[in-house]
Amino acid sequence: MASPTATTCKEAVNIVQHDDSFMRFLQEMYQKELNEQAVSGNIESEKHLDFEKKTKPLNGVPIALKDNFCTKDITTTCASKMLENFVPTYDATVYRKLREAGACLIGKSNLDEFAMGSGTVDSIYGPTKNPWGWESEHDWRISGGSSGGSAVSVTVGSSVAAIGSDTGGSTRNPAALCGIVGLKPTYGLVSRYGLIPLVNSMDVPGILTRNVDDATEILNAIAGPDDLDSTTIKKQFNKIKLNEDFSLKNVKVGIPKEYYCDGMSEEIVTTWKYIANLLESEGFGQICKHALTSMSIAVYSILNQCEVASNMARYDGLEYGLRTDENYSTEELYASSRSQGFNNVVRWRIFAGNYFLLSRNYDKYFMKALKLRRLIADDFKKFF
Amino acid sequence: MKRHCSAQSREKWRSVVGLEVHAQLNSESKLFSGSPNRFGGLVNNYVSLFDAAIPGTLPVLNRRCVELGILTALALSCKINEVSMFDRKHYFYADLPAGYQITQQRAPLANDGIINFQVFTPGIHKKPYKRSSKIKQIQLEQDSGKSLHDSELKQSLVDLNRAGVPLIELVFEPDLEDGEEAAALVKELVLIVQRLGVCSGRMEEGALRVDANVSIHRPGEPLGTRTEIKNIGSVRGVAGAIRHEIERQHDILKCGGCIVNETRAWDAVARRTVAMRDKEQVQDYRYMPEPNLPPLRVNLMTEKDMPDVISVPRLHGTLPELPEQTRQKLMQKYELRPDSVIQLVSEPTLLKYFNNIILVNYRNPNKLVNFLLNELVTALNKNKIDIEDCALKDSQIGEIVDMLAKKKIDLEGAGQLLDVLLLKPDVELTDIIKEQHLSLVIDEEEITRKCIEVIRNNPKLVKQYKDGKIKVFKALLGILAKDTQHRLDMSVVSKKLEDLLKRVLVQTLYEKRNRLHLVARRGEARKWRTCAVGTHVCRPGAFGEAIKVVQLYSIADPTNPSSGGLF
Repeated sequence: MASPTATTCKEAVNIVQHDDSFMRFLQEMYQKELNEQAVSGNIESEKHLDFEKKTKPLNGVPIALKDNFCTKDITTTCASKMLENFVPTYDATVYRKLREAGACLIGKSNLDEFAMGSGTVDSIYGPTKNPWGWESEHDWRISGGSSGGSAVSVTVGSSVAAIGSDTGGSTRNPAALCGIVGLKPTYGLVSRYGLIPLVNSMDVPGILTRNVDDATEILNAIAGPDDLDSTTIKKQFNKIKLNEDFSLKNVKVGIPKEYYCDGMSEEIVTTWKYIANLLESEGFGQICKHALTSMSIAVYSILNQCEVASNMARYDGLEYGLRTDENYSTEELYASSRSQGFNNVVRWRIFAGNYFLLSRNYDKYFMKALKLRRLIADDFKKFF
Repeated sequence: MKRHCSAQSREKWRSVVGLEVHAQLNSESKLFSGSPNRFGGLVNNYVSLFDAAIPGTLPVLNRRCVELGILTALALSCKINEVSMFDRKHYFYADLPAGYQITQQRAPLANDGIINFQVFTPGIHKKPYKRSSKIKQIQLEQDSGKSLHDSELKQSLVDLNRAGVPLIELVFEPDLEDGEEAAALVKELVLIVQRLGVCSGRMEEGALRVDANVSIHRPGEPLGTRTEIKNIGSVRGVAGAIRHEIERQHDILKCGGCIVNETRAWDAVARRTVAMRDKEQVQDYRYMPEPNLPPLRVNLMTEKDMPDVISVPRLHGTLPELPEQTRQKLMQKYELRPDSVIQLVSEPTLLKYFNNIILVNYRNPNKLVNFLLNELVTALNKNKIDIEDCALKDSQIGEIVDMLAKKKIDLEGAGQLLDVLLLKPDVELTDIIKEQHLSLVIDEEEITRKCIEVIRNNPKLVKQYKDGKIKVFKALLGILAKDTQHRLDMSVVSKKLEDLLKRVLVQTLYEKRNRLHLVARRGEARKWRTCAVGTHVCRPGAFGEAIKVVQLYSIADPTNPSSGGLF
């Protein structure tokens, strides 16, 4: 783990301030408040070290937080016009735990609007570009998503670790695209309280770091039961310790046959085959079959869109969020606020989800998707 | 004409009524958040982040609410479900911040219960009769906020204090026939939830709200199209709304129209139901399982309570005596009349007085009940005090009842005593009696003197009496009561005055007889004698109507009570 000294924070802030030319992982509008927070966190850490002679596990470690985690007094936008001016009055459990462990927040990172996407391109702040393979303003690669901002912040070294969220790959995908470690912890292990939801039944706060040890440290800091999230596992969480010399003997790696599909680039297929052979020859890789793979996208889409339709119902512009000047009627106000506040992807999912949830469609789509999800999960259970 | 028409054809129709009742649970905090569950707070002051649907917040189920829901279900003989689940019910409304309500549509807390109750509305039913209604399900759910519409300023204001308040919804089968039965069911339900301490039952505060489904059909035919009357806010409102809705549907069908399946509201002032405009369209609530709450599990087998699993048998052991059990007990133990028992049990405050007062000394249960239901209720109404706010002590009411029994005061005096006590509950009873001169005169001589006085002072009335107008007796009593400020024991007075008047009458008879003697010489006296002495009754026409006159042995001086002999 990077040494938890106060200077790390300052360095990180510097990188954020000067290296922002080719990416937008932080939202500049509240850079100032964040810097203040980072500096005050820095002072706190220093006091802690100097006077109390105690170190916290993440003392002075700079972290970035995906901008769908609520942070007290710091704007939390979900990269949407709807929440552009939303300043929460509370901290997400994940952030509270990180702060208590000594970490300092250096930025809120960019994402696809409401975490709907896998490129970090659908943000009101513009795309977050991948630092790898960047040629020019017009020739760049996507960072993956929806936690692209978090991935880039770790990749360029402006934060030691970043928190993303992962519903259907939103942490693992940008980690892969940026060449860092991305972990989606088991559902229920990490509290979702304060994470603005995409799909409640699949959302998990994700961890992005440069190495596995760092990921372990972060997981140890944020995992465990939370009274504020009824879906967390009630059992006490025992901190994970990784041995220096570990054996892969008891590890079983599944290589799903169906995941090899048309349209994959030659480079990827070659790498895939190389690794698969390696694992198999060492005796812990095993080809497995997931017959339902082809359906998984459809299942995911239906479940995702239904919960999205439901979760987005609260954005009516009354209590918080964008409210247009429409004053003909409450219904008109809802309609104009929601159509101006959400981008096309979000609106499209809301429409589709509401369609699937109509009482005449419920059994045909939502119920079937739930059953298939169970079967897909069973497939994995059987293998492992 | 219209009235006649509808009365004639009504016999061919049968009405069917089913209720849905929402009851707010008496918990300290809301169903899924920590903000206080209280009525009447400063606007938007009991609102947590979750209640305002702030993004990222999650529901946490309040254990107490589950317990209260289970208690109600047990009291109504429901089957409690080992596993129940929460669903989201979606609709857009300004007082529903999340855009959905968390409820239990698919797997509710409890199913298959029954409520038994007595139907008795004084003035409508001659005597009580029994009814019951099956309960389809009981579910836990959130209340919404409140919207206030200002049509002049074209503004809607929202108060979220009520948003997230715990409710149970009780869905009844359509087992009822009319509004009175529905009102009786609601009244019984209010008593039960109050007994359980589950809900305040205060309909005027919206703590218990009733939706009624009403349809009419001809016997032997399938049920008619129903309409739903939403949010009826009082027991009498339930009776009135349903009665008017049945009449309305009947009038439509009679003229060949058809009933539209719609939601209506009860206008208590205009006394009619009106279609609700904003709910005209049939809504698809797009139910979906609530993903943030795991299934709710309860322990049906053992009394062991765990942090996350409530024991149903343990709760069953804490059930109090229910209103119907109380009624049976009261009728058996004190031999009270069924209608008084129904009225007594309907007023928990009065029932408490009864139970506490009857324990001390021996008191006549019927007299005590009558006193509570008549004198006390009248005095409270007169002073505009709600029965439940009555501050009188058990001992005070007990003493008054005893004084009545010993004739130290009369009902009139008791009423005055109550008036004073209700204003100043700390004053000694004896002091009030002294100050207000409420003490009853039971001394016969004193009473007789007053009676004579009234006879002397009202010669005209006495003459009318003599002439056979016995109705004036009451007038004389009234004058006497008024003159003496009700201080006389009126039962004694009434007897005494009657006696005295009879003497006056007899004296008159005596005088008349003398006159008749004169007549007899002309051959008519014999007839009179037979009449007066023989039949004990004067013949009509002779001395007015049916004045009871007895044998004329001796004649006393009517003005001197101690003189004279037997009548």
